[in-house]
Amino acid sequence: MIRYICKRLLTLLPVLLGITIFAFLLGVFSAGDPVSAKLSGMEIEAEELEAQKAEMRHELGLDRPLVVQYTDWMGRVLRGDLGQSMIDRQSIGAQFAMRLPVTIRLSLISILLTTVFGIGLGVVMGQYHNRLPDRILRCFCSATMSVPSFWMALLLIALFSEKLHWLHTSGYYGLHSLIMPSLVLALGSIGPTARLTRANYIKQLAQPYVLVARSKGLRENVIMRGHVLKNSLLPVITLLGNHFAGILGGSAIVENIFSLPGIGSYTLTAIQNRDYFVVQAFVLYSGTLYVVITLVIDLLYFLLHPKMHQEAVGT
Amino acid sequence: MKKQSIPAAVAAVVFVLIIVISLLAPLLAPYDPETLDMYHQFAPASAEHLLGTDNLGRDILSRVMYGGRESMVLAFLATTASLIVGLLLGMLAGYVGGVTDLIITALTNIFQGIPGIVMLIALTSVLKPGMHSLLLALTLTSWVGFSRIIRGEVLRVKQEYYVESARSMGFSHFRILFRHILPNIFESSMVWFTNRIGSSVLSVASLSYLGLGLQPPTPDWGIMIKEARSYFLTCPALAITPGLCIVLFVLSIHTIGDWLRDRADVMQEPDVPI
Repeated sequence: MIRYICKRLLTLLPVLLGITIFAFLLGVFSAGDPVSAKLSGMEIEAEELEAQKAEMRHELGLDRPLVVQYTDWMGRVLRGDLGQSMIDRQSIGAQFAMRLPVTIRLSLISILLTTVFGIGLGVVMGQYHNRLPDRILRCFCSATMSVPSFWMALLLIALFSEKLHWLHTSGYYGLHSLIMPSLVLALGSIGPTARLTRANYIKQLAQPYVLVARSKGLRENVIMRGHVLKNSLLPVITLLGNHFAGILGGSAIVENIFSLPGIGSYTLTAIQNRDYFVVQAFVLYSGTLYVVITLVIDLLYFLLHPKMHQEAVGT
Repeated sequence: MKKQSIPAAVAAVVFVLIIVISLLAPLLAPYDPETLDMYHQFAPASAEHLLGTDNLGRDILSRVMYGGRESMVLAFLATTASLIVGLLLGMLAGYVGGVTDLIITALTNIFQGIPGIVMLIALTSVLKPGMHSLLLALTLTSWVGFSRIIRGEVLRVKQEYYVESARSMGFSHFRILFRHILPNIFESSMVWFTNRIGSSVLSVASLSYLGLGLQPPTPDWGIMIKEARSYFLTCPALAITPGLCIVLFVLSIHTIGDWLRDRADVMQEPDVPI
């Protein structure tokens, strides 16, 4: 067990390193822009312009070797300094901390909805395998996976906010403001979760142990809940972990549409202002969070499925 | 035709229809998709404008016909590029093993550590807007899936007797990889390929909606929805029509992908759409 955890933690290091390098390079590739942007308004001779550019790059430390820049930047990140917004000079870290609760709440509600509806629908589909409820729900799942989230959001806003006046169009006024956004965000991952649950459920139903349990006279309810469901949920847990990736990124789009004061909408506004440090911070945040979540899911999987232990450790 | 194949057949017809209409849009479209007509803003559906006109008096039907072209081409090219990169790296990792495998797996882990949409948003915000950047960003985000699946498939196929016997006959690694292993992993790669095209179309639409993808005045479904947002209450058709086009197109691709998957009998779940 401890060996597995150590091994798993070790594989984490290159991934975290890779994420920071990617985020860092984003800054490098875009860093030329603020220099040019600042100087573009002025009327300067070409030669002088080049000189001024070089001077500014020197001031910003952009002429040093990349490795030095990276370690310097990384040192600041590790101390919790994500830099300042180029537009309003506010600390990005502070802005993120302020907006984090909304994004986290939105993501958690969405993953909760995905879990409940995904597994619930999947079990119903498995129970009614190839009968009418199964067919209808299968169509429903395919459809939800093909709908662009931003379009769904527009339709929901039009119906529930503009026509029925049940919910706010945009802004954050407490948990009820998250009803529509989290539904939209969860919609894309409910389909795949339900389908995987269904596939596993059907596979488990065909296993001999179900027959044995039935012949022992166990109640159908006990067999389904105690054995079949439990066994078919294992692969689903991993998939739910993957969905976190979609939800973390997708929340940016949803926050943008519903004008929620979260990290994603902050980043998208920053992009419009060419404020790349914010994008850097966003990549760091979602990458790290996602990596941590996958780790937790892996450990959870490990705990729930002891047979994995030997395979994973290779003993 | 088998009963299970009927949805796929319908989907194939829809898919081909959308492709043909998009390809022939310059011939079929009644108007130029970018010509403004300020005297006929928000015109209702009529004989001249079958679906009406938008806020700038542009013919909606023509714009819808043109609206899928760029994103289809992008999705297809980017997914093909990802397939090629994924095939090469995945086969290399699975077949050679050892340090090569370790390095490639570490690389895929890194790329998978950053959620796809986050990476797309980050890349498109830094790169210059345009088809090239979108193509690069889409490929960089989607090669990982291919590489992982193909590596796993190669590891599985490598154990088979026919590979072992090919090796015992002294065939070159190149021949074993491309003549014996590749045909056997092709089917499952195609399932992933099909689903990935669907999700790429959705990604392009979302990016265009955010202003990071295709740029106006390109008649694109995502851009059309973005522009129609402000007029949704007065003229809902403006946003609903292009949205329905996206749903129909992606749904048809997913249905074909499902059919392929059932035939290939592989357990794969399509990517999470955004």
